[in-house]
Amino acid sequence: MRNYITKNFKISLFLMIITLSILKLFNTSYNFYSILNWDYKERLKQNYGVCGYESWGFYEIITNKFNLSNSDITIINDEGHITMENLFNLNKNNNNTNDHVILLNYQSENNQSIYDKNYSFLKDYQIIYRLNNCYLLKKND
Amino acid sequence: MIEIFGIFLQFLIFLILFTFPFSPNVLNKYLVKNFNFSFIESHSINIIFFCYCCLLISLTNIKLEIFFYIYLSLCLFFLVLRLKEFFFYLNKLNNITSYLFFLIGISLFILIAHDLRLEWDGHFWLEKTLVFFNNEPIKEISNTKTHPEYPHLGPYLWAFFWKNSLLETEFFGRFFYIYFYLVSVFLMIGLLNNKNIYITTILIVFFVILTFDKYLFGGYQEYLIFASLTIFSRFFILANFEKKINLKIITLLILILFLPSWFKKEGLIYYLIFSTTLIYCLNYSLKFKILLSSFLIILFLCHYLVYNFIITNYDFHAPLNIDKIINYIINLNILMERTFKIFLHIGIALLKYPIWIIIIISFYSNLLFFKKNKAISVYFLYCLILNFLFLFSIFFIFEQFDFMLRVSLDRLIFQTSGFYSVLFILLLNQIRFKNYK
Repeated sequence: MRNYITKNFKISLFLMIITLSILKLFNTSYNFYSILNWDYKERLKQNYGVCGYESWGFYEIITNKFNLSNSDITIINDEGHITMENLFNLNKNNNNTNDHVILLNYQSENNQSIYDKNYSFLKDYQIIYRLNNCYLLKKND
Repeated sequence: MIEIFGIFLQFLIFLILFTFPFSPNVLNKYLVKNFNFSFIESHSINIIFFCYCCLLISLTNIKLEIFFYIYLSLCLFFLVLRLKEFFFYLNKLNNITSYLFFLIGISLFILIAHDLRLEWDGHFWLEKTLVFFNNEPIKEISNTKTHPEYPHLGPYLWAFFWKNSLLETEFFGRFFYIYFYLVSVFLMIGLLNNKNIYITTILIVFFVILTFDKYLFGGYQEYLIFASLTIFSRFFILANFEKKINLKIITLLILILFLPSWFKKEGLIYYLIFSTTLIYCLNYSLKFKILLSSFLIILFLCHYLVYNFIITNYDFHAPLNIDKIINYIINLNILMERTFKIFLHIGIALLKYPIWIIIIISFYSNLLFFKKNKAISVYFLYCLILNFLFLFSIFFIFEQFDFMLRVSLDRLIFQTSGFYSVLFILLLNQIRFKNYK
């Protein structure tokens, strides 16, 4: 009986250490807490950013506000991150003559505006929505 | 809370789906007699079977939901039919190992559910996944904007579990990759002769630490190849090179090796390299080897026909420019520079995935000190040489040489690490044997 208890105690202690190590290794407790506290969309914003990194939040705002599903769109992420047209079912087609342009994380110095630098074709477009350094532009009629 | 419930439910669905159609009892009867198949071994074979079912169904444009309900109904029906046998094998399972499987599985599921970002290539694979998710015809794969020539089975599996999850959210589809990976790791550790629970548990955790890379669960297909090849190497050990090998086992091995060719382009190369080496090493007559080689060629033709006529796209990653390649080889400066850089990046990749350090030590020890493992080690050595020759040649001819070395060589090296890891387990088995002597 004593042997049984000693053996079980050893195994239980070992299992407890292994369990805690795994929970710590994969940060399970915090991840569990995070899933309970923030819903799927909030976590997407945390991971991809609103106007920063891939700017998932900006895509979400403009696809809710504007009907972009039927037009070809030029999408530029000026910080070099991947664009997310697949997640939002947008027709990305970077040929500079599209109806709309999405410009994300525009990198500027001092008072430089999007018309001053790099993307000369933007002079034919007007801003229809802006959030920080992210822009949705529409071609002038 | 519903997401947490969905995660646990997904784990349960995987458990149920992959108990069908082969139970350990069926495998003992029909695959290898006098071999006690375990629950995890039958589970892994069922995953391979399931992948092939998905491959066939993906070509027919049957809706994902319909396929799921039919497959799940069949699983439940067979489960009820073999309930007694199921509980018999469930009782035989080691409680601690099962607990560990559950704990690590759920921890990884929760990790991906929290940190759900798709990494760079994940967005390209997502494009293909969406074709299946939206129940579009398979020909649409060739109309995807990025790399339409890439194989489609990985995205199909992703879309299948995404569509048939409780909340229909994207990351549920990627749970299959985690589950497949975990099954392969537990399967490999099951090869250890030493059944001491402390050693087994520590070894499992050790292997997970060495082979887990969260980045590669961000939509990459690397773990599908890793898991398939790991499962292959486990069943490869069943094939005793000194005797005539069971034909059913050889067929199973070739089919497992063929699976990665539907996950990624390089999977086709692994299939050709590893399966031809397998046939070369077999203790069979030349006539029989030619027959087996014909089987390999038939499978290869199937692959070609499916991509050329059903999906209508059978391209390489980049068109080969023979003149440029000859120029690279003739020009000594370019030859030296490229060779040096490839070796440098191979070295960096081996350090990035330290499992390779263990593999190299295992190779060395098995070949030099343990003659019992020599035949198996020699097979893996041939594979390793051909594998690295393939890597060298493919990177040597890349147009975007420096870029490709930085972003993809490490992943290609990781893919096959599970394949060679089995040597480490064989080494451990030998060390234990020597100690008891």
